[in-house]
This record gives sequence, structure tokens and C-alpha cells, in this order.
Amino acid sequence: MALGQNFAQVILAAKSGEEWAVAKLYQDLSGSVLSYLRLQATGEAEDLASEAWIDVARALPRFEGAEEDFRRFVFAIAHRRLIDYRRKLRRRKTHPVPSELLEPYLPSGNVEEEALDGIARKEAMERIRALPQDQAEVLLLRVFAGLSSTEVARLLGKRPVTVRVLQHRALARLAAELAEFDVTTEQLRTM
Amino acid sequence: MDSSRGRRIQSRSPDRETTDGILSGTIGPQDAPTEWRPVAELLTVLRTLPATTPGAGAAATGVDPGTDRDRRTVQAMATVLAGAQAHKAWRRHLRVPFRPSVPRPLNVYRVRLATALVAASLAFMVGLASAGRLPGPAQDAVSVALSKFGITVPRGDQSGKTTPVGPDLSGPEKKGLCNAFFAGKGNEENGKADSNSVAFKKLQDAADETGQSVNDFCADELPEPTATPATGEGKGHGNGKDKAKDKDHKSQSDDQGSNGNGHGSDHSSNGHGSDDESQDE
Repeated sequence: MALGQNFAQVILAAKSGEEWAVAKLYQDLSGSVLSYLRLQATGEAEDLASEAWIDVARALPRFEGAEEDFRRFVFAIAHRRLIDYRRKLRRRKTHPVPSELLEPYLPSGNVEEEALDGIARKEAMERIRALPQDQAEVLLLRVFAGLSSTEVARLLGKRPVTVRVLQHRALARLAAELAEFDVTTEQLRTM
Repeated sequence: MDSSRGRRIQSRSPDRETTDGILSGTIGPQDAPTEWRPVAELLTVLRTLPATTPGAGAAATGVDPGTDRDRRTVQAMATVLAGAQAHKAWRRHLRVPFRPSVPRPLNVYRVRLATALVAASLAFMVGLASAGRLPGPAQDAVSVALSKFGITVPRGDQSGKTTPVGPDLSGPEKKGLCNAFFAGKGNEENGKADSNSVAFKKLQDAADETGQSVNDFCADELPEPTATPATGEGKGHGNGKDKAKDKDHKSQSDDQGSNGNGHGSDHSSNGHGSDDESQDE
């Protein structure tokens, strides 16, 4: 849900600390941000997303631009949070239990369970998680953040041609896997 | 069958526009090429992943912030922003105006002026250094620096000192200088003056100017060595060992002037024995 013409008004109100405006901005992008993080940081995605949004609030007074710029701004912060998380993970060497393993023990009607209801979604998430990290990163930034390959390249510190190669490989790999398991479009829909 | 289909897809990749369309969602599963439909479908499914559940704790903000976690996040963000706003208001009077970090274009006139000033300063310094008018250390530094470019400038320790000119040979100094010359100070072989001595060099130059040797030039200032032999008894004999015979002009003249008293004090020689003998007498 894009804010469109109201964006300028909403961002101005959000900068002055109006909660309704902050909620609108959050609601507009929180889903994409959470999905982006959830597909790359299983189990910690919600915490990372919350931290990223607090960072967005800290940096918001300095933000200038249109709605597309705000989208890039938010995903750049989320991406940096993800990088921090990966660094921390390497240092701590912990092995958190994936949320999927805990699902059977969670009470029914759980928000997480409801969000992941549907095998097609799980299947899609598994396919993306199976991709190499750099390919998944490029793919998710393009899909969820709506960034162009040049913008993704700038965000990841890579050359645009490298990003195009990565996204190409990711798509080819997904297509090959789906073909290998003979997953047709109809099956994916009805799964 | 399956693997061959996979290979076919690998080899037949979509073009750039199709890839961009599939990734951005402008090309849906229906519009995508047949081999890429499952991928387009998968990405469409990804886009529909629910991140929040509407209705759980609708806040008084008028919008649905979703779960309790979402609500808390929104409140925390609003608090941070309100705090930042208050802090901004408090610091407003101290605020430094924002200046973009865009580099200014070079002002050509300023650059030219600066270059001209630097060139003028350098020329002035070199001129002072050439005249030896800089203070000692500065003169040294400039001399060393300019010597790298083949320009010779006096060193600092040389500047400020007066150049020795030697005695005035038109006056009474001539006699003294001639005496000193023949006493062996500065008289090198072949009657040439010691080139290291300014005074002797000047004597030599004066002699050269008149077309004479130093001997001839000084002849009228010095008495003839053998003009009047000593007629006195010369008891003292003055036969001290005289190492430098050529230097004896003065002692000879003394002897001559002693009128035979025989003391013959030889100033230039050590007069070994002669003094003792004369005392004994």
C-alpha cells in the first residue's frame, strides 16, 4: 500500500514524532522488510526488523526525498542490520533453533503460524533460502525493496554487472529446480 | 526428463527486460515465458507473504499497527522522533547552518593571484639570498636549496662578514708588509706571495702592476743587506744558529746599527750561546 500523494505530509508529521504518521510509514513497508529479513535470518527476523525500524526513526530527521527514496532508505538500514547480525553470529557461534521446529509446540492460532499458513509460501521460502547468500540477497532486494539492479549494486557495494549476473543465476537456478521437481504453476498455486 | 528440462532452462536464459520484469513484478506469471512461469509464480507468492496480522491490538492511532510487537515498535519510533524533535529545538540556537559538501568550482582569478604572489615571494627571496642579505640560517637554507638547481648563492656563514682588503701599500704599511714578506711569512718559492694571504697577494699585485718583482718593489723600503758590513768587534758574534737565512735582514741591520758593540742581538735567531758569551764578558 503506497502512500502516494500523502507521503510528503506523512513524512513531515512523522519527523515531528506524530505516532499516526509513524504507524503509516511502518505499515507501508514493515511487511516487505520483515519478509526480506525472515528469508535471510531465520528466527531473529522480528528482532532485526524492530531494531531496523528504530534505526529508521533515528535517521528519519535527516531524510529528504520521495516515497521511492524512503523505500531504499529503509531497506538500506535493514540490510545493514542484517550484516551486523551475520557478523555477530560468526563471533558468537550460537545455533538458534529454527522457528519451524518450534511450531508444533506453539499454541494454535499463533500469529506466526497464521502468517506462514500455506504450503506454497513455505515452499517458496525454502527455495529462496536454498539459494547462495549473495544470490538470495540480490533477489530479495529486487523483489521486496523494489530496487533496480544499479541500486542493489550500490547498496551491496558490488558492480551493476555483477548484480545482474547474480540475479540471472538465481532465477536460472530456481527455474531449474522447479523444473527438476516438475513443479508446475498450478501445483505451486494449489500446494 | 526432468534434468534435461532443467538444462534447457539454464541454457535459455531470459533477456534483461524479462528478468527485470519478473523481478519487479511487472511481468506476472501469465505474461512470463513458459519456462519462467514457475519462477514468476514463486516470486508472486513471496510478495504475498504476510508479515503482520491485522486486528491484533488496533491502536488509538487510527491505523492498524498489527501485532503487539508492531505496536511497541511504532511507539518506540515515535518516542525517538519526538525526542529528536525536542533536542533539535533545544539546540536550534547553537545550530551551525548546513553546508553541502559539494566542492566549489575553482576561482580562476584567485588561483592566478595566489600563483603570482608565490612567484613574487620566491623571486624576492632569491634576490635577497643572492645579495647575502638573509639571516644566517635562512641564507644557508636558500643556498642549499638553490644549489640543487645549479644556482650559486653565498652561504649564511659567509654573508655579513667584510671581505679583507689588506693594508694600504701607499702608506707606511708597505714597509711592514715588505718586512713580513721577507721574514718568510707568505714568501713562497720563486719570490711569489702566498696566495692564501690577502695582504701578500695585494703586495704581489702591486708589484705586478709596476712590472716589478716583489724584491724590487720592496727594495726601497728595505736596507741593502750587504751595503755596510758590520765594523764593530762584535764580541757577541751573533752566531746563533739561524735557521732561516733569508730572514736575517733585520738582524743584519741591527748588527749594522750596533756600531761594533758586539751584542748583535739577533731577534730572528735564537742566538744560542751568543748571549751567554757576552754575559761572561
